[in-house]
Amino acid sequence: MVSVQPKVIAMGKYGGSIMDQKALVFSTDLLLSLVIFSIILGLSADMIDNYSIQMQEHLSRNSHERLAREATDILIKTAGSPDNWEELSTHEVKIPGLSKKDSNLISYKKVLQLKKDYHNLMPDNVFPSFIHTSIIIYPLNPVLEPVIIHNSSKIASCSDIVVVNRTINCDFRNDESILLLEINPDDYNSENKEDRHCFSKKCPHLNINGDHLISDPEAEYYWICAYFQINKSQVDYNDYYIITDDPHLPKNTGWIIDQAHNPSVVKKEFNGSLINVNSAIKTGFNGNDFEIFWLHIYFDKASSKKFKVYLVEVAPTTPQSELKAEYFQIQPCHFILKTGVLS
Amino acid sequence: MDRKGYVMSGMTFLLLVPVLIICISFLNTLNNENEIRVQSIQSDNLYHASQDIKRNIPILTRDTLNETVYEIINSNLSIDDGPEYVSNQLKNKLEQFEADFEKNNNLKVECTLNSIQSHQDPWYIEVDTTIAIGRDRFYYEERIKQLISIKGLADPLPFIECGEYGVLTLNHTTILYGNVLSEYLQDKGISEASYYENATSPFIIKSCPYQPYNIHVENHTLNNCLNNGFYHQSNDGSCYLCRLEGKATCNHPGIEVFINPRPLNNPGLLSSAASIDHVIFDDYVYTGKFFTVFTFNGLEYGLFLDNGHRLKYGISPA
Repeated sequence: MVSVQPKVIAMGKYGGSIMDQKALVFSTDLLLSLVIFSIILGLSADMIDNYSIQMQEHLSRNSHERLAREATDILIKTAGSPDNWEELSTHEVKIPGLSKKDSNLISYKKVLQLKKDYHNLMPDNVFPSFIHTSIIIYPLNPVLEPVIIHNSSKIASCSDIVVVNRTINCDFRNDESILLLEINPDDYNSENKEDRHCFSKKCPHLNINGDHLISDPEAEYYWICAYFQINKSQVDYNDYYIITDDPHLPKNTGWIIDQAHNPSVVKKEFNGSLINVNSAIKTGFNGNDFEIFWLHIYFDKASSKKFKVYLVEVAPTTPQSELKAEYFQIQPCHFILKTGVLS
Repeated sequence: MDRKGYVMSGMTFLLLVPVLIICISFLNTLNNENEIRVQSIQSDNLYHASQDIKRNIPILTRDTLNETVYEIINSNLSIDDGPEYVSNQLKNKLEQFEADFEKNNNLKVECTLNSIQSHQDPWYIEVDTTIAIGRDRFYYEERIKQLISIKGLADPLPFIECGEYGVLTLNHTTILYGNVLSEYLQDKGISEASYYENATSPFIIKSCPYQPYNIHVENHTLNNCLNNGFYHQSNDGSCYLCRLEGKATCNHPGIEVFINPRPLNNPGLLSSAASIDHVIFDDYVYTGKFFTVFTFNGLEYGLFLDNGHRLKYGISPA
């Protein structure tokens, strides 16, 4: 037989049930803990929220900075894909890198091509559509104009802007310079030099004694002569100029362009820093694929003025403002890329 | 009360968990960013180092060729195997370069020279190298073939061939043979060798711009070519590496140059050994008839040319 024991309920010293009192205590504690808990929860939530925002901003800024840095690297450290993209049609271009192949130089031809067709050439995977950009090349030499490859009008109103500034060397029109003669009269006045009148290459004007075809026993002069080659395929599509880095050369400083089989004795004087020599070049072609021409520079022995003479082959569309000696040299520049995101 | 304390501690711990997670993820992100930066810097370092090494290999090769040719000129002795000799010399230079580069850049560098050989363009020698660069866990390797120009280097062939007959002297960039070349030709059984007394030829290799070569016959052109000592491409002449071995002809595309005999008084159609280096210095010497390039003070300056070379330079056959 199973006996049922009455359940013993704990009694307090005041007798009766104490469960109610305990509940009261517990409720007050619970309330207090809830308040504390709510405060901690609120503070934590706020802190987490702040952290999240800061982290998001940090991550967003970092990713923006990284994007700008990497885009700059892609542009200035690679030749692009394919590496001769500037000669191809737009749809064949994958990445428009601006560097010359196997060189640290920036190619001015690529810069001009990217400037001309920026929106079609710059792929979306370099700059996503929400990023606004400005890419400008500032030559350190003030004679050269800054080259604005692209300048988004919206960048001024962007809240988050990243600027990447890199120092680069740009070739400008150096490739279009066929011949460069650096003339330093002091070099030729040196006692160590051979006593002769013609330096650099031995030109076709020289006779067996080393005298130039155009010699003047009364005058104290030097000739600096060098040859250059012109391809027939290029001659119809280009203009030819002699450019000097100094527009005010001493009087009597002159030049001749001729060929070995057809020497000329007509010396022309320099008049300004830009001389069109199309007629001398274009009339020298006789059916060969290329011709060799000689440039003879005449200057006074007493002159101590250093100067440089460039013979350049440029497209007829080349702006007149770029037919300066500085454009035919490699120039250091600042490559400045700005990227901005609208808020 | 203890149980309630546990509840509070538990709650606080639970609240701290997301904070800890956020902190950990934040630190992790910072670490990842740092890692990306380190990778980018290391990658840049390796790239710039590789470019630097690439630029130095042609310079070291030119130095090696220059030193080798002057060793030959000073000793008048040829070397047995041009490519192998230059390779060994270049390997020594590359080892020294590697050691200096490692010391200065804190990188591990290894340049392996695979081969040096003549190129189909005879003005160049092809150098094939593999460069390997490493630092920590980053590593870069590339095999490169570079063309090294021979323009501006000295021509060793006349010194190797004529060295035992006497001393050749130099006047700037011209070799003055004195009696050496005529004795050399006499020894080879050429009866009109005396025309090569006081002969001259170029010392430094320069390529002739007058192309196609048949325009040489035009007024002043051949004279200017001789005056400047220009060399010409030739299938018969030897390449630069074979010149180091003293060979006048070889199977590779090569170069040739005129050797100027002394000026003659009324030479008419005299004949002698053709005035081309690979003819004069080859075992089989053939002759050519005199062609006057210019006349000065009653003396005719010119070349002895066979019909093959006359055709090449645009001169009518004799």
